Amino acid sequence: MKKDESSKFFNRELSWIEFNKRVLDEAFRDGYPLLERFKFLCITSSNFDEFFMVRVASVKRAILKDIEYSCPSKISAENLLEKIAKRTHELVQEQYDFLGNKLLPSLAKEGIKFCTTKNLEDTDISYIKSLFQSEVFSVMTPMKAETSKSALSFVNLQLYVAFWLRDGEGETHLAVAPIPSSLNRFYELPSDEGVKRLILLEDIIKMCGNQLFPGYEILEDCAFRVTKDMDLSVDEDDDKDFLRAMREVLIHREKSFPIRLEINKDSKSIREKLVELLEISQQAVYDIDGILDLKSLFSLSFFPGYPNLKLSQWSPCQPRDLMDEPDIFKAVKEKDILLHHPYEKFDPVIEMVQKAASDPSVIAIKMTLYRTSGDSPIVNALLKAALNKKEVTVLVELKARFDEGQNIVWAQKLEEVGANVIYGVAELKVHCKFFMVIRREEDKVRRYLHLGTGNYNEKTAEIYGDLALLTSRDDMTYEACLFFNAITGYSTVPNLSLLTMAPTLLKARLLSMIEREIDIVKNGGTAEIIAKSNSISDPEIIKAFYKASNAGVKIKLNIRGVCMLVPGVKGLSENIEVISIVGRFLEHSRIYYFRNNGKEEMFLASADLMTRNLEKRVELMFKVIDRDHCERIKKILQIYFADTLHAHKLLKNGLYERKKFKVNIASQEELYKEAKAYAKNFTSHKGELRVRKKKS
Amino acid sequence: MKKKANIISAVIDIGSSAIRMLIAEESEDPTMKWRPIDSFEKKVELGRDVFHDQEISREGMLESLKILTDFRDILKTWKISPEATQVIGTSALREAHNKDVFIDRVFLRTGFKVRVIEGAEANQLTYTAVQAAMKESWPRFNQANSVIVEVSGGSSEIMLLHRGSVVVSHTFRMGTVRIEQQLKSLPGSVDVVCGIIHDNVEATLDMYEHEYPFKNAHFMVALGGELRSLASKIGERRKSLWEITAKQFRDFRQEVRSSTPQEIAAKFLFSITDAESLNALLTVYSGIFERTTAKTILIPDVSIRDGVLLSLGGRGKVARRKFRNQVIASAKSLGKKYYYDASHSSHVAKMSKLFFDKLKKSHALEERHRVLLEVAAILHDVGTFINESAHHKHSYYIVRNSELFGLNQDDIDVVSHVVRYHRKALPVSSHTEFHSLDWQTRMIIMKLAAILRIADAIDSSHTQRVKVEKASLSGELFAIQCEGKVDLSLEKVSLENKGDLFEEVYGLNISISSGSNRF
Repeated sequence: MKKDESSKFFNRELSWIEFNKRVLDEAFRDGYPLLERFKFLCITSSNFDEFFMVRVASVKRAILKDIEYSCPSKISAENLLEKIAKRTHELVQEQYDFLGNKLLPSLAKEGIKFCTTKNLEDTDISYIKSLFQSEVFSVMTPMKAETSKSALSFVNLQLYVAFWLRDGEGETHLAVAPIPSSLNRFYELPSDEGVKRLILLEDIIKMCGNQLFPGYEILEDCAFRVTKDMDLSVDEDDDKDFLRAMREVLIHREKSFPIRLEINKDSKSIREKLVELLEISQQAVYDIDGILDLKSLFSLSFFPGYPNLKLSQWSPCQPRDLMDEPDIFKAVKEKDILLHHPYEKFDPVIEMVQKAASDPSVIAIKMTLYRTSGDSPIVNALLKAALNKKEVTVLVELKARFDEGQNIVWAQKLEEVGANVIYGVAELKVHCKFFMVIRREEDKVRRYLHLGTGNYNEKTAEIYGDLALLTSRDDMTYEACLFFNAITGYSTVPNLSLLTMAPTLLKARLLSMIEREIDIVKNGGTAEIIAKSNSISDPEIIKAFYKASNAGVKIKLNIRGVCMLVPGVKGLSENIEVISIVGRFLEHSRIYYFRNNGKEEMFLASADLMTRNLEKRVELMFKVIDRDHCERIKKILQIYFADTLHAHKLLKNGLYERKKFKVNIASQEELYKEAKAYAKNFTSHKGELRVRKKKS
Repeated sequence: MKKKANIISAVIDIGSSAIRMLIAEESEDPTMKWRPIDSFEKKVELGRDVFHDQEISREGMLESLKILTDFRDILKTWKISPEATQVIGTSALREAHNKDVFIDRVFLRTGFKVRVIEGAEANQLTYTAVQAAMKESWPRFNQANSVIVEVSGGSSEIMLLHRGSVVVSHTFRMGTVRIEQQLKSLPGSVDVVCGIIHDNVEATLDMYEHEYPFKNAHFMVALGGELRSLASKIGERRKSLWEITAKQFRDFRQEVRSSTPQEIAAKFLFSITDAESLNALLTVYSGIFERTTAKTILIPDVSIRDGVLLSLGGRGKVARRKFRNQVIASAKSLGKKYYYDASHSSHVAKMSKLFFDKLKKSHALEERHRVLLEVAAILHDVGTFINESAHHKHSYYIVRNSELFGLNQDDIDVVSHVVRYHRKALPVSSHTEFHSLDWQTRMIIMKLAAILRIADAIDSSHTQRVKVEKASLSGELFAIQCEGKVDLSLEKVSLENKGDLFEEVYGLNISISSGSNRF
């Protein structure tokens, strides 16, 4: 391995952009229903939003503050920023070309039509004016934006309409009006049956702009939005009042520096003025020929009706391990349960929390919450449990990015009803998914444990591919207890064997298991590693994989997003194959499999193979003990590698290519079909009771 | 029928570097194991205060109170009251001059009653825990010769077992916290400190070698948080314990010696402080390991807290019989150390037990006291090692200052005084040690000493020529009948001398007769 170190790694940000390219490519997929393709355009935009305010912000901050941007690919921050801009401009161009030239015209043909200010009829105009008066005008807050200070207080990702005004004395001014987020992004215009005519809120505002600025003449107008640095960290030393410290971060975010300006191509003057006020470089300006902020149009793809424009619904099935015993506690008491979402329902998990809340034999409930839904049934059940005098301990990760505000609200609610709320761990984000119910049963105290790869969020559980394990095994649940005591501050970090915790041991354990495969293959045994993760960016793990590849260990990686590992290079990684699956469900499960000379070991985890996860977060990796479950997960891993529709193969130049085969195999569809086949014989108790009788 | 829920108990252990709590449930299966439900550990450096200033600092006190209050709140979930919680304090608390203040403040604040555990009792609790753990995963252990070692914050415990019974049991003042302090206070390299520790350990072990040769030990069981965490990194998991092979242990020790603490901390994910004292710690374990013929070091997941739980009442006769055997074995081992007259001792012990049983109605003592009497009978003459003259006082001193495995401080008080009063003067007001005991204890001592005195009188020849056939109580007379036709004149004189206490305590006259004729 004499090669230059830098060529052994792809840059993380550039690799991420290629991931978003794969998402965008899903929109271009011929024969795919139109609204589905529109959805992927929205996701591409939403992804870019987060990427800019976190990742690009960190690169830019490195330049501004003159700190080193450390990347094993040894690229400089300036050079990187240029490459990011170049590639993003290309992709955005592709995205909007497709939207304007292909997708919107096709949608119009199907009866969903966006109207612009230019192609309106007189009746529409009077309708719009009255709509503006009745619904919009009162919530508008137009303001002048003539200093850098006022420009820098533009709200992150907020869509604005800018107006180029002239006063009575002939002076020009810039004024902006934020588009109220309390209103719909688009309105329906009266039209014939079977046709939807839509108009965007910003167009309504533009048309009625003169009402906002009486005494001024509107010369030009256009919509824009600014992306700002949101990667601010909280003052970890403020242990006294972490809630307050978090709130301060949320306020400070409003004052951070701009990273990107997206602006419609309608006004040169406004563009010039904004660039000047924001002090933003030309490469960070995205001139958009089309609808800005596609994320807020996401709801369009859920319009009722239009079955021909959508994929058929795959509703989650009854989990195969809960076929015989639908009572979740009884089932887990008998055997371990493996859940595969969203193919299988998430309901049993919610049911478990709800039942526990009112079950008299339940003594304690312990849980970590990272991201959960707005009106979460899980949080509601926890509230109920605390009211029922159960010992409820919840570790709430306030630092879960962009969910902070929401998390603060319900964390306080829980505290008010007597739950023991712990606001995370200093310096670390608690990212593991942990839920435990302790019941005092007739024969003994039994602990019921749920460990998963995905969040306790019933909404994302319908679109994220995740695995979870339910168990009442004494050894594993005891270790889980010790782990939870450690992260809630009641105990020091314990030694565990079935569970492995980051940041203490997870990385070392993974490295030693990779090392073990190397030893095995050197001694003529059978070695193989299969890993599924959202991203891989930890240099030590990557180097260990290279070493294993050189020793002859076969390595298959299924990495949805960022992959800094360079596969298939002779003398470096010829035994490593990397694929990425992008489909209707977001691949989110983390699976680590080691052949171990026949004594196979299978693990599930909350952690990706990123330095961030392995060193800066509290994560859990847990061993799958049940042999049937190991086989089932192995099969899942194999299905992905057999995929010929949604799998992309990573090439040594950092680009991805779709596999081309005659037979079409879509992994997610295969998994759904299988779940459905298992659930076929399941009858719910609603219709009939299944009475158990002695067999004659 | 609805079954009664299992008992759930909690043990809190106030150690020299942390306060720990174990909540466990009495298990269904009769192997006497408690099933852990939850466990907690919070660092508080009491040892650092005590081993340096002989006192628990204000901060240490406040921190401990905070932790104990938290623990009390956790116990509420399980409906375990502070009174029902076993709270023990080990070496740091034992040595703290202000321990009474500490115990009082803990009680006032939390309701916990802290019991300070002496070295020997700590050993016994540890042994009980190890034995139960090994039974499960290493059944051969209970018949084997082995050594049990625990290096904790303030002290090291070492026990040598012959065929499963403890024959040597010691606590010496060498622990991780003390080592850390030495490393800080002694200028110079770690090697120098390790050298000092090495010499110290070796000298101590040489002394123990006299009592039982280490090479006979084929197994080594080690406890202690540091070693367990090491085992999870370099060892392997076997059932419910960790195993480190000789090679793994030696290789690791070599690596520690040739690397900096920083390197070790990074490679094995230790904290820097742990890595710094690792070398010294390994010196202790290694000193012991290399003397044995063990091939591996076994590290079960147990601690003194499990021992406390297992020693809680109601665990059946098996445990008690085991307890007796252990205590007797260690008493004999102590006797051997002082070249005791084994035949005389066991003869006297046998008679004492017989008399104890026959007098049950008169003394109303418990089974436990019978064991204490037996121990006193075994050890009553060990003082002759120093001098025949006033040997009862020497015996008293030896028993008081030796570690008798399985006996707590109260037991030692009883045994040492029974030994003290096995001959010569009876308690008088100038015997302050005796009078500092409560009256119940004093009565127990008198009742046991009275029996020991007559048993000793009967073998006053130290030849065991007089064998008691039976003893019986009728009215005011305690009649002892001997086997065969023997001349009992010497014994009678002796009885007259030493029966005084008996007559006083029990209000009985003694008669002794041989098989056929009555003299």
